Amino acid sequence: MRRCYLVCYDVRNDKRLRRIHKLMKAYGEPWQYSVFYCTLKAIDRVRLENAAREILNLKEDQLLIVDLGSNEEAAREAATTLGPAPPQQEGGVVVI
Amino acid sequence: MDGTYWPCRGVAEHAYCPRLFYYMTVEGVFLPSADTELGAGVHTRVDQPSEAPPTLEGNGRSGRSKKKVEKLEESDSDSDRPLSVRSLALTSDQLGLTAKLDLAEINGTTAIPVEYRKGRPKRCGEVSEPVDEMMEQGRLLPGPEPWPTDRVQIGLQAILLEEAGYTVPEAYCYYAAERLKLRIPVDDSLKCEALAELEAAKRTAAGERPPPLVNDPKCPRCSLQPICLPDEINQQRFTTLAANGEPADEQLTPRKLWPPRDEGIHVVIQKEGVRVGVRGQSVRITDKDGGIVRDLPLANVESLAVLGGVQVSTQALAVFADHEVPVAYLTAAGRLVAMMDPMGPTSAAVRAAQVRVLDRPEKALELARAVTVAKIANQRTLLMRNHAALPSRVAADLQDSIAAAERATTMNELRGHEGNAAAIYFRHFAGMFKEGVKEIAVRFESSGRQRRPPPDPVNAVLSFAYSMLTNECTAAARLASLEPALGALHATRPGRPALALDLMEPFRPLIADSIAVSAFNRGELTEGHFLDTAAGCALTDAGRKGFFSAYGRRMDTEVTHPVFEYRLSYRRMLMLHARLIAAWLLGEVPSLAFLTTK
Repeated sequence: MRRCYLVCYDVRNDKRLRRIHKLMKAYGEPWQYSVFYCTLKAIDRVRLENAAREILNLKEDQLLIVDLGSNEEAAREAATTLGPAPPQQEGGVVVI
Repeated sequence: MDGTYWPCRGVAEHAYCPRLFYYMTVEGVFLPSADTELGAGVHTRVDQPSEAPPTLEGNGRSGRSKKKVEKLEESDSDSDRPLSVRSLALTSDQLGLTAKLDLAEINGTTAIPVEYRKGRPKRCGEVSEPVDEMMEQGRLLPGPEPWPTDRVQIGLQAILLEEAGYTVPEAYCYYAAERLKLRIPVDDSLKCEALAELEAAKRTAAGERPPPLVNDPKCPRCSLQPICLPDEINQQRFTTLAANGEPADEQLTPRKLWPPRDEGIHVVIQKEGVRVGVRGQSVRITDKDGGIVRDLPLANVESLAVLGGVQVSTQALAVFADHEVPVAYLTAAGRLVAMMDPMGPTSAAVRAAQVRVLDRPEKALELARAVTVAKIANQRTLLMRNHAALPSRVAADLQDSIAAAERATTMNELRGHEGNAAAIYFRHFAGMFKEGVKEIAVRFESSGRQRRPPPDPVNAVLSFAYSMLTNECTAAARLASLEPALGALHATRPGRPALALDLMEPFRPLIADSIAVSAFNRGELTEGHFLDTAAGCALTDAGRKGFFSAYGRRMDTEVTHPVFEYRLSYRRMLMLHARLIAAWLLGEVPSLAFLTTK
């Protein structure tokens, strides 16, 4: 079962910041500059943590994962935005 | 098996489950799961190789490392602190054994191996806390102890270290989940245990793949479960045993071991001139002018199908291969041209068995018969469910076809019954369309089922759906280590995925035909979604979009397996059946049964 997560980070160094941003784009959609919304399988959540641990300096930086549960609709509805809405992503089959 | 070195890790797995050992070490099949990735995470932190230890024989390796070691020794010379060596590789020619030690603490000629585990140690019984303060002490419970597999691994490591000339008085196992380091005394019983397991593993490797464990609590968390199918295979084995009058007290309904559904998005790209690339690990789809159409996180992409003139960059292909995302190339009309699938772990034993078994006419007939019977049964069900006024004879006729197919003794006879049933089925196919789509139904009725070129919308959708299903079945066959080109009912022809077509037969009515019927009946596809050309009737871009959304929904529909009694989506049902074919080819299950619905 995929679960939804909100992942945020504070990174004190530009190089690591860019690397972590690039990494996060592999796992979720950017809602804000350092706030990502991810729908992850259990295995990908572990992979994300492992990869982030490699990049971050754990003495200075912080990565925060908030579990939003397994209901994708509820997870999206849990967010209220003022200003432009975050991008909407569809599930199932994406036809382009 | 001379010249083979068995990894310590593998032998330890043998203690856990001989079948797991056979899959991973002998066949080289592996499936990562969250647990294995967690273990890998623990080990990347542990596995940074350190300098080589000073060799006891005194012949140092490369000059550089020797210098470093000397320097280390100098700084350590006044303290008694042992030298920690990470990722120490050891090999024994005599035992045919090799190992990479997580950590060895080497002090002179004494070495202490330390093994890292991501999980927890074994505990017998529950930890009880004193309920009230009057009680002097809680009940004495056995403390944490290492798992048998860990004992085997540590034992083998100790033997390897001793063979390299060290004395090994004790060993440690570190359990990361509890930050607990357990001491294991290295004595004769430990070494005997380890050597016995090594011998047992060698014996297992020389034979056939061992049967799955029966109703074992280890199976649910095992990452190989979707390949190994312990409960499904045992269920089929014991059912047949019982049917033959042999004692089989294990009446098993498979536990629902299939990992929960965690499918992401399936991407279909059909717009001319679109490009697929990767930026880091995210998939970027750009249009002709370089504008970004969509950015998709790679972790969410499950498969990619590319129709017609779409560019996929080499870098993107490499990334897809790395993440085991299959990429299918189809023509604009939906014919499967090629498939990129990663050189993942495929089991040679399965392919060898496929060649051997399908070479025997009676076995090939058995497979062909099973798929044909299931297909006709499903055709019959679909008609009976959806046809407004089905002539009463039709159901009976199809039932006769099923019975005749079951009795067929040659492949040609079987194909005859299959064709016969198909003729009856398609003659009444148009009756499944509702009042509002009469025009389309009439066009189909007048032409019947025709393939090249499809003359009317219904035929066009059927052909398109069969192509997409072929692509899914080919992917499922490869996942199960089967050779798609070598089939039973379908003869081998150049470029034809015969086995995938065999696997697809029972699913044609359930998936493809049902999509055609429901998409028209619901008005998702109408006459306007099709273009009549000299090359036949074709879907427009909008029509294809409608088709793919209906297709995606159908593949995600969950159905209950009639025998195993659990629910799986059609897509996963295809994988399950591909793997059951593989199990049948290897002789693990005695008979084949394909999905039929009621």
